[in-house]
Amino acid sequence: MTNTDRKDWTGGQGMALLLLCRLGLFFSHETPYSTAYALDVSMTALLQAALLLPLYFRNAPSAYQLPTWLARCQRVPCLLWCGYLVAQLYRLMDSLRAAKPPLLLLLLFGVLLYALTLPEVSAARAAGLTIALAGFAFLLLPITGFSTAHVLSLYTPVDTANLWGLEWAQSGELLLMPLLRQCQSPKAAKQSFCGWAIGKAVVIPLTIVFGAMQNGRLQNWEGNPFFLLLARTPLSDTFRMDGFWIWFAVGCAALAMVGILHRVKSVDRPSPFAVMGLLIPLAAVSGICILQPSALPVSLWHWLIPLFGIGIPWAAALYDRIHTCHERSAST
Amino acid sequence: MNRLPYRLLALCSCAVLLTGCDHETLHKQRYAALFAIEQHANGLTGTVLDLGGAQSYHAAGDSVSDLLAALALEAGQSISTGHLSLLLLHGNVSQLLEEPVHSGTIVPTCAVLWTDEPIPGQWDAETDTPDAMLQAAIAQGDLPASTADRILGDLYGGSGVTAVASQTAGGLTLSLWDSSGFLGLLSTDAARGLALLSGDWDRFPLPAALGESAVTLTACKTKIAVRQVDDHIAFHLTLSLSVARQHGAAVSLSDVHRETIHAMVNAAMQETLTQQGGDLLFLREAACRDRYPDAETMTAAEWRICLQTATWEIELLQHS
Repeated sequence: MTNTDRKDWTGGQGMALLLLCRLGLFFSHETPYSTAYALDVSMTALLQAALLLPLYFRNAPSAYQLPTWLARCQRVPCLLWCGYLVAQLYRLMDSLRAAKPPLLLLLLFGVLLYALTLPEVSAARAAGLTIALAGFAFLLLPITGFSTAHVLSLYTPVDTANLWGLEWAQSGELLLMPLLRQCQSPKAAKQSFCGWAIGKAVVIPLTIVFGAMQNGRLQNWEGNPFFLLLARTPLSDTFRMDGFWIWFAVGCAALAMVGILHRVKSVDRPSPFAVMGLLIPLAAVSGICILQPSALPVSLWHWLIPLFGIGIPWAAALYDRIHTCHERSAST
Repeated sequence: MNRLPYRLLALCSCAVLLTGCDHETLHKQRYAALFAIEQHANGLTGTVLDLGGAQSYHAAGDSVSDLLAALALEAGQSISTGHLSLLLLHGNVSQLLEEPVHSGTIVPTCAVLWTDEPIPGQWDAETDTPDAMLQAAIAQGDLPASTADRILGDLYGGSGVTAVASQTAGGLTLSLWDSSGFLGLLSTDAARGLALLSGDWDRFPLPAALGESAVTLTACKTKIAVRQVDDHIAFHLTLSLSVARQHGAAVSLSDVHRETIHAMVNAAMQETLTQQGGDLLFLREAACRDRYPDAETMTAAEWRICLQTATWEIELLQHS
């Protein structure tokens, strides 16, 4: 069993980390802003929550623990996912015409190196604070853009064939969930799960709907449409919030990576080489993804995320159930 | 050991890296306020007016990115288009606009103006740039806002027809385009009608008519209802208008003013819908909302044909 004695992450902090993982990619990826996609996100989130619900609401605490070998297996998709996120972040910086994206990546790796040498609780607190800040900023968006929103844009016909499965491929937080539960009490894990489900099924779709009303018929363009949305909201001329959102997007992705890497690191016993042992493969994966964008295609995530995010936790829970029944029958 | 100086040093280095601007970088940038692109048979020529209006540069290239590189060479500094307030085009709008928007060279919310006159190689900083005239025309309701994202949105969505603010010998007006090229210029009435329906203006003055004083509209909310009549599509436009008070007293719209508004909206619908099949008012979205048969599944070309046989009714309401 992995690190069972540490219950570092509270419910709110766990929820924050899971939502930051999703938001990191939400800001970096070319999300289509349409009602159909908002519905797809909401439906996918509800389906994922329904599939995971029985695992979170079991009373047996042992069901929350992955065997060490399974947790080690879980590290691979988590690291791949982090590399994918770095590559998407690089593309976002490039599309936003950031001055020196390669230097920003170097800085990001510096931040990751520093953050991974700190206690894990600091990442948990940072995630909690960031999501609280995001909550306020998300509240401000509809207020600023109320006057320029076109309700009719919600009915713009879109090709829904490409939307199916898009949200599954972006649900990288599912890969983190089993590892996150290792350092949470059952109650905290339930709270994180519920917060994540509400945030993903309600808040993100509402943001997409708001974006669809702002962006009109131009729903897809190079770079993230979220920044087109910001350019169209009138208050952004007075209070320049673009800078805040750009750094918030980077902060989301960076904190998500810090959280994931902390969890991946804690699978094994502490080692002085653990941090570099994570950052070197991460740098390799992200380098490949940046230079060869098709290295980790969307189709790969279509089976990797359901397998490691839902399949393995279910397998572990069933194994635990069979094992418990076997022990009980042996004792009687 | 006191580690604070090292931490501060690391923080300062991070700040320098994050801004991406050192002294040298800032002085190597030239910020463009206006970017004019002219299409020729053998390529493009472009002119950039810098943000202070002090200097302009002229160069040629095969594509917009080539053009920017040539302009940077001409200026001796790289050209930043992040603060661009106007993109002036001479040539095929859809061809010229697609590359800079999709490559991220220009901000999608940048205003676009098409001109039928060749673009001068040099701009005089003392004379008014078209940007100021365009902003004034939009503010007083002569034209709807014409931005890159709206133009591309209408070209790729709707019926594939878009309206672009245009500068001609007769002044500022609107021109209609589809992906193949120029379709025609709109009349002044039609342009004002579209501006009224778009609601981009600050104040919309209605000129004094015989026996009537001039009035100013302060707001217009348009509701569009769609239904099927016989074998064609029919639109019902309801305009809720607010009129500015005069000397503190409420003003009601006279019949003459109502007729003026009616004529403008009618001209806008006639010249965009019936003549060109253009959907510039989210008509397709309204049709989808009102469940007009096949509105969601029609191709842009089918929707355009459908609009050419459309009929419409205009209803004017005044807010008290």
